[in-house]
Amino acid sequence: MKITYSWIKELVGVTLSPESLADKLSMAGLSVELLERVGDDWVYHIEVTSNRPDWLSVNGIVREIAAITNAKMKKYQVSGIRCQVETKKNLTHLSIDVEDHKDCAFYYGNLIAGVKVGPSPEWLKKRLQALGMRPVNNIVDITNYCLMETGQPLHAFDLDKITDSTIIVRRAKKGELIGLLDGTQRNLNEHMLVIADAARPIAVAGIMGGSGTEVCDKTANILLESAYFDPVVVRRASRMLGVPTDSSYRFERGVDVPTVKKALARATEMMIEIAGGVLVYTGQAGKAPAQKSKKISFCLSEALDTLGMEMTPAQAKNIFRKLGFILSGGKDRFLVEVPTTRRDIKIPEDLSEELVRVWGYDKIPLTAPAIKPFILETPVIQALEAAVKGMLTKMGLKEALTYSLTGEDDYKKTAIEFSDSPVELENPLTRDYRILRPTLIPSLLNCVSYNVNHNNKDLEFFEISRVFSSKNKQDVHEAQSLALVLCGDRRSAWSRESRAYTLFDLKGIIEAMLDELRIKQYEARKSDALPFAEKDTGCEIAAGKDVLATICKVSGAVLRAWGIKGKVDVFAAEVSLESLARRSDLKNSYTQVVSIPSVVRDVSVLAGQNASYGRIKAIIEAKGAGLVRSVYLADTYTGREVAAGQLGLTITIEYGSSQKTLTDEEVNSVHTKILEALSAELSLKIR
Amino acid sequence: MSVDYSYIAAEAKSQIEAASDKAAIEGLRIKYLGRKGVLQDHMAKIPELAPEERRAYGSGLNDLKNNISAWLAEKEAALGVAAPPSAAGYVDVTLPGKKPVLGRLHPLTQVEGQICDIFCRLGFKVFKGPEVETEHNNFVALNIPLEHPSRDAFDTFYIKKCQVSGVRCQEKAHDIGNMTQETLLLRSHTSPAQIRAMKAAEPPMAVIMPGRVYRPDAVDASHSFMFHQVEGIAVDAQIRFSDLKGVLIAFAREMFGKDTKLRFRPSFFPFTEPSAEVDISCFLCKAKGCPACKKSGWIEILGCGMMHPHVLRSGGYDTKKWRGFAFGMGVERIAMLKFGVNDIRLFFENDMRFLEQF
Repeated sequence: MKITYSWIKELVGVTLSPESLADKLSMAGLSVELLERVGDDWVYHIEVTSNRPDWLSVNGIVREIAAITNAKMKKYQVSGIRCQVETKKNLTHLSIDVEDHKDCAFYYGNLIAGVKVGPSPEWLKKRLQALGMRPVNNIVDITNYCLMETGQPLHAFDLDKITDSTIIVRRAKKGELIGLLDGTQRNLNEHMLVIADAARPIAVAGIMGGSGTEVCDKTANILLESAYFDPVVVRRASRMLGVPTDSSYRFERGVDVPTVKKALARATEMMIEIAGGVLVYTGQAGKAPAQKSKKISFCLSEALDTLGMEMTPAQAKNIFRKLGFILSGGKDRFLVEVPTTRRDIKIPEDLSEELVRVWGYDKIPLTAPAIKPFILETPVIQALEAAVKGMLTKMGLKEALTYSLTGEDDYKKTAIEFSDSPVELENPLTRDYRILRPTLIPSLLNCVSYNVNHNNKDLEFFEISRVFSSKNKQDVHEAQSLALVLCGDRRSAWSRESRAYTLFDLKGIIEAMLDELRIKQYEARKSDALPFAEKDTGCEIAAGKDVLATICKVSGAVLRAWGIKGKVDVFAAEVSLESLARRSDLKNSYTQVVSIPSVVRDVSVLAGQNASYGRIKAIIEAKGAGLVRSVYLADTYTGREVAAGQLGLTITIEYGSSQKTLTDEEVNSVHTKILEALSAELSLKIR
Repeated sequence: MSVDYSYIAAEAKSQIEAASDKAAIEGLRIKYLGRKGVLQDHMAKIPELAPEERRAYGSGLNDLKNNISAWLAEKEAALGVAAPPSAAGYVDVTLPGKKPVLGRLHPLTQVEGQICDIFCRLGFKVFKGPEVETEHNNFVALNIPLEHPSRDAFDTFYIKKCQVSGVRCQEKAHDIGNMTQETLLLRSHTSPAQIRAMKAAEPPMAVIMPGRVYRPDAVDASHSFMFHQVEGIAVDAQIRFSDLKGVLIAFAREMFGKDTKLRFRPSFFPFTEPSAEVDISCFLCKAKGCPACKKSGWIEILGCGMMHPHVLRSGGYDTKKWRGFAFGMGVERIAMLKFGVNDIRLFFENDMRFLEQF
């Protein structure tokens, strides 16, 4: 909403400077976004909140200024004299019919005959221009002027272009067409309310007039419309058509019932004065509902207790009276009668706001709140998320945040095909942001692509975010997911000591995380289920039926699709925080440190397809007879003596007992059994 | 055969002590420890010995070798000659340290964490709601009627409904006539979490609710269709607007500095009554006027108010017994101000050179 300083001064005896007035308005809730100097005047750009349609007019703002500055309103009145109907003119009578009064409670039409259409007088043009409106001609300018002044949208039709002098307010028929004043042709439907003549729609009610009945230079006779259209109906049509106008903006918020008639009289008067002509007929369909003023029982002490501030009954009542409320009753408890313009005031809390708004929020003291302890259990997943973020940053990873909305292309590039249809938006901004992602991997690859192409080749990223799926296609399931990517080198400050990341760096990060969460029962196994994995690199870490994590090296084809060029390897993993939460144990407890020395023996074997490290380790642990303290990998090797498809492993077994120091014989006996088991069960050759 | 090493030892020691420079030390090192040195000569004799003598002979030689090495190093150090690079030699302390690569949380996570931490110290607990919400929780329960202009501030992404018996049941998103309360959407603010938190906890209670929110805004330097908010409510029998002011000033002083001032301006939010917008005194220019505060000295930072009775009822709380205050703020806005980031898109590009600065 825009208003000029000169216009304000014309209507209210305000003595504040333009700047102080702007400040005063902002602090009373009429937020002045901009105070603009235009010529010798000032234009206020005021952001009017949706609860205050009464501020969408000059009159409304002036009323508020009078209340908050104690200034006097200057008398403004419609003389009414010129609005007498002159029946001498022999003009046809106008028939007005409203099909459904739910859509349009009442409709007034004034016929003004013999107008002379031309440019508006300078003062009127200037005033409209200051508010950013383009002057058209005197008739149209007067409707716009009255809209700004009173808040009531009006429309002028060229009476001679209306078929059969008939106005029907009705729902549009599906497929009906109308050419609007903005030059567009619109397809209407039954949700939209139109003003029609005997033949066709001539305006979309409350939104915009049609070009077929546009007032032009040759227009001599005018139908001036002022009506009350249903806010929801106008809002719906305006949104369906994608045409928001000054008019629809006000109808949506609800116009003031008594003003509908007052604004019509005001505009009629101005037209007669400025464009000549005479009022020859006033028509009407429906009746303005009787205005029952709302009465709210208000308890001042309760209100002040909630606000935590002090104010005397006299001060409070003075504020209410200035705002136009009528009071009756006692000192502390009284009845507040709300003016018809204030449809936002419904409950005592609304009245409290009026008090503090005018009195000033700065008058409320600061108090130390007593926030009491209460019970709200933190879900495991919430604690887990915080713990995992801590671990991953300790391990050197950076947290990325990427958009939850993705497009089909992201999945195509990542070679992912959906088995179930993903969760989609009904009204996406673009195709690229249409799908609520079921996995974080494409987003992180996008992130790698961006960085590699900006010359950051060594990357370690993770993201924890929601992923979405729809099982029965009715509900949306939301889960917490963690994804990680490694790319390029594990950097060292001495650059030659940097080395390329491997699959096992990523797997190590995940294993370290599982250790920290005290998840012990899991196994790593090959997985062919990752469509973006390079052949034979897919791995899943599972605990029973739960897949905790998937890890792989990303295939060259997928890297190329993402535009990740150059010689970099990318490793990606995704972890289900839900399944970690089911198995993790965030409670820690101390285990006695063993001080009895252990004995270490190495085993060198050639592992292969059917004798993986995982199986070897499992056999060692099974045959350890409680004397194996730990099994770890010392080294891997390849060379002339290692055939293709095999990998040389040196495995260190640490033997020890919690009771006593083991003798050589005891160790040798277990170790031999383990070696025998390895050759028997896995046909391994021990070197 | 027994060998007396004491003579060799004594001679070596006196010669080493007499050495006056690096070259002399190096010469003695070669003389005694070199490949054709004195000790090597004796080593070569080991195979000639009877097996039972070898051990004593060898270990004696070994001790001697260690002693001579130690005397050489000692003398070398005394002469101020640094150790050769290969062994205990020259150390260039100006070489760069081997800094470990540090991990980092995203700046938005850091700011969100700071905000939540401050409120948690004041007695709030963190509560997180889902990002896909019902239209009821996102609007109706929060006193935002469907098809009402107060919804204009909350443009919303809707979830496409599935196909039921081959017919798309929600053909058009904008067919507002067909909206039901079961309609799902991406929450356009964190406020629906208020409703869930109230259902999860008995009053008195105080929760802080961070999270991602979505609005169909075209992306530019200051708009993003996905962003983060933190929302808080506190409900108690006697809680007051003055308490809200007290909590917010405590927050602002911790977050933006101890001299921070607050300014409350009347505003409108459907879910609070009375409502206010809160400005903080500009911490960048100390309220002198800068581009960030548009020369006003004030920066708009959050919205707040007393919880509307409709909202308390939606959460299942008895409005005769309980009242509450609520506030909410944008994480990106605060992060942009605090770090001097001038383009919201930087947060979601994840350029390593950006992320490594926080």
